[in-house]
Amino acid sequence: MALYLLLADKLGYSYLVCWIRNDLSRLETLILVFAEFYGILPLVLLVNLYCFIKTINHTRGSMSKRQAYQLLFFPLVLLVCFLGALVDRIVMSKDTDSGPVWLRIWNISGAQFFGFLNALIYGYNKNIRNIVWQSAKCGCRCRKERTINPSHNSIMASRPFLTNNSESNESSEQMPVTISTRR
Amino acid sequence: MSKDDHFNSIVRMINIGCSILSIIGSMFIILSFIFIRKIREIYHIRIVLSIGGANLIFTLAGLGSIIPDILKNDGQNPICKAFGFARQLGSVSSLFLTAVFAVMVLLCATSKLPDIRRYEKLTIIPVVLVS
Repeated sequence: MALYLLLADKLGYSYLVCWIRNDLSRLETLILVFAEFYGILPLVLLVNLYCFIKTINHTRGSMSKRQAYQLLFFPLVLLVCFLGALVDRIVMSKDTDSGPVWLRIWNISGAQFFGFLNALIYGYNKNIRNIVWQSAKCGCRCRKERTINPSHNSIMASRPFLTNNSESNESSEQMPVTISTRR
Repeated sequence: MSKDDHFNSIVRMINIGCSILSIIGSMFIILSFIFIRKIREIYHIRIVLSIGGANLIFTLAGLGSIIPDILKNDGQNPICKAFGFARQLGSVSSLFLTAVFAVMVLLCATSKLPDIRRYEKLTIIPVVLVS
């Protein structure tokens, strides 16, 4: 899809970023923008909603309310980040410079904020946080012991994650996404 | 400075601020995967890593405006086109990968299929190719 835009010479300035050119005809820009991104967005949103609602229904007994809400954050982030951009695009397709200021800001900041929110919900759940924290703690401990007693080096290196059983059990009982992951 | 320039500079600042946060978030995922062995054992981490990578490309490609003169002449220069290409690739990959993630979570919860992780690997490459 990206290659088509490049080969067909449709890339260029698109309001403070480089994407599909603004200087094409309004209809062509609208078609391209929807075919290449904003048309896919509602489909992905529906797939997300369907899958997560079905997962919640299926695991109702074993999943807490909080975990169910966490699953619904995934489509919510998509909606929050790109709804402004979608509406702004529709407004722009009617009259290029008449879009409200807040919509422009939502468009630009929402799209750029997408990576951060995704990292929060996908990569910063309790399970991953525990692992990172444990390894950071271990890293500090390893470094301290290395300076105090250099003979510990090989032992610590062979056991980089010194966690007791209770800690590891706790970390596996977190988000539904990662509960069932240890197969 | 005209009103439009003032407004554009504010939007540019917001853009840069949000981008920095996104870069930190994506790098957190990528660096955790690289340096922490236990993270690599988590079930869906490859999809999460791919989403992080796609987001990083998408965010960096949105920072074209900080390069001087890149947006002049309606962005008709190779650098702007490269940024546009990366933005398109990153955005669509990221969207598709979130859908793949949702499907994998559903499969994981409902399906009795053995070795679902195999499908995870099979889906990431076509998603990037289509994007």
